[in-house]
Amino acid sequence: MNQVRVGVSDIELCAYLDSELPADRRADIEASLARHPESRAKLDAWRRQGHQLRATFGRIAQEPLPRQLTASLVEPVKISFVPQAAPKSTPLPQPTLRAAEPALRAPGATPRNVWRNVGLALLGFSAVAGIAASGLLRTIHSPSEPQALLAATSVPGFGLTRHAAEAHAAFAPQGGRWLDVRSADAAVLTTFAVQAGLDARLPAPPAGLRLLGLRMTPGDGGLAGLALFESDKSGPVSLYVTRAPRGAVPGIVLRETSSLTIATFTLDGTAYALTGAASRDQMVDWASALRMSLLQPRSLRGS
Amino acid sequence: MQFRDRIVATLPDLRRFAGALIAPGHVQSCGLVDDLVARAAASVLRERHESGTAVRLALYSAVIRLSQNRDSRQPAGMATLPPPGSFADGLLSLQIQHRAALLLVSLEQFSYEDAAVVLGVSRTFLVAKLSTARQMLARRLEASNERPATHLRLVK
Repeated sequence: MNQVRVGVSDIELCAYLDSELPADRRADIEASLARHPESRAKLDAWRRQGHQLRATFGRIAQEPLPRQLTASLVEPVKISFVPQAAPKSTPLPQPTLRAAEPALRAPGATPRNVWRNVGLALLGFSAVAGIAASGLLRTIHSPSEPQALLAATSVPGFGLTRHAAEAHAAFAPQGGRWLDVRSADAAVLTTFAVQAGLDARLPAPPAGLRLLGLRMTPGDGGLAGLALFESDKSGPVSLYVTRAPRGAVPGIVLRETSSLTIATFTLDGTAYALTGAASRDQMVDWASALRMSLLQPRSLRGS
Repeated sequence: MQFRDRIVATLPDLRRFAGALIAPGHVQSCGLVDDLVARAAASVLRERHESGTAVRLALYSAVIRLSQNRDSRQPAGMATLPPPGSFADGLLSLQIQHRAALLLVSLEQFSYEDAAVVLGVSRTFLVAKLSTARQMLARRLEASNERPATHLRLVK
């Protein structure tokens, strides 16, 4: 039989060490420790552990906080949840096949507006069907289909969120099929994006996301980039990168469609929209991590 | 004090805790630790705990929750592995719940009540984890002291 257990139990020894015992019980333990040197030795070893922990890691708390860490908190971070969101005043794009898909509806959109959207979508569908009947359908089904659809919907004022959702719906399900550059290195993709004319940095992928590559697409302010990620649990995730519109809201703004969550933020004149089917919390975590990555000096990001 | 200021005031201690929890091989904080701390802070910022104490507990709780997404006995990402047999190596050998219990009480000086809240367990369960962690760490360090030192040299 182990004498230590007979003398003072480990649970009581812990509570004694951490001053979590009432005074009368402490006196009992002290008397018992005098009779059981093994318990005393164990107590001393545990006490040394505490000293060593504080000596080893204590200095971390004395370090100055990194700028990017405080910057990510000091700057206002606004998170708004707008179900089925799109600006009310957003002009409808030219009718296309995509308009018939589950819509990004304006907050508080009236059924009348919804029916108007559906009507225009059907009109667009009819137009496409007419084209198909005249023998031109092959161009719609060619490998350039997503690009054609995006080009058709890239009208000024269309909105970052909606562009991001459209680009995600067009390219993300195809995985790496539509990529211009396949690389897991954000620095490589940034170089390509800058050379292509998109003056923006691409962040390193956060934990849980694997970078597949980059696709260039037309956007409101000229060229836009779409970095594609894959995740184990939430399917494809994309990051739409373009020039920031005027009057961009600081912080992270969250919007949702019926199936997608879009977290947008602006940094150094560039707008980023992370789109995927993950939960709201997960998307904000990823967006925060991406934003943190962009706030870090280039040397830390390996670019 | 503003809500955001209360979070910022906790960050130095939180970085110390997160560093010891996920990258004990580093005696200084690293980018991965800061990433974890930033995500925890952003998470608490969203939830908006009102009382000052709750903010502190919620931040530690968020760090542990986010750390558990990774393999608990592997250091974070590119964090340096501590030398075998070192104190940090012994710490890393503990399961993350045991490690967290030990760090909360011995490093961060939390009361049992607060540490139990952070871990989301009862006080009894916390003390059991703490006791196990201390025993395992002591056993591990004792074993490494008894083991003859291995000297590696480069052979060309």
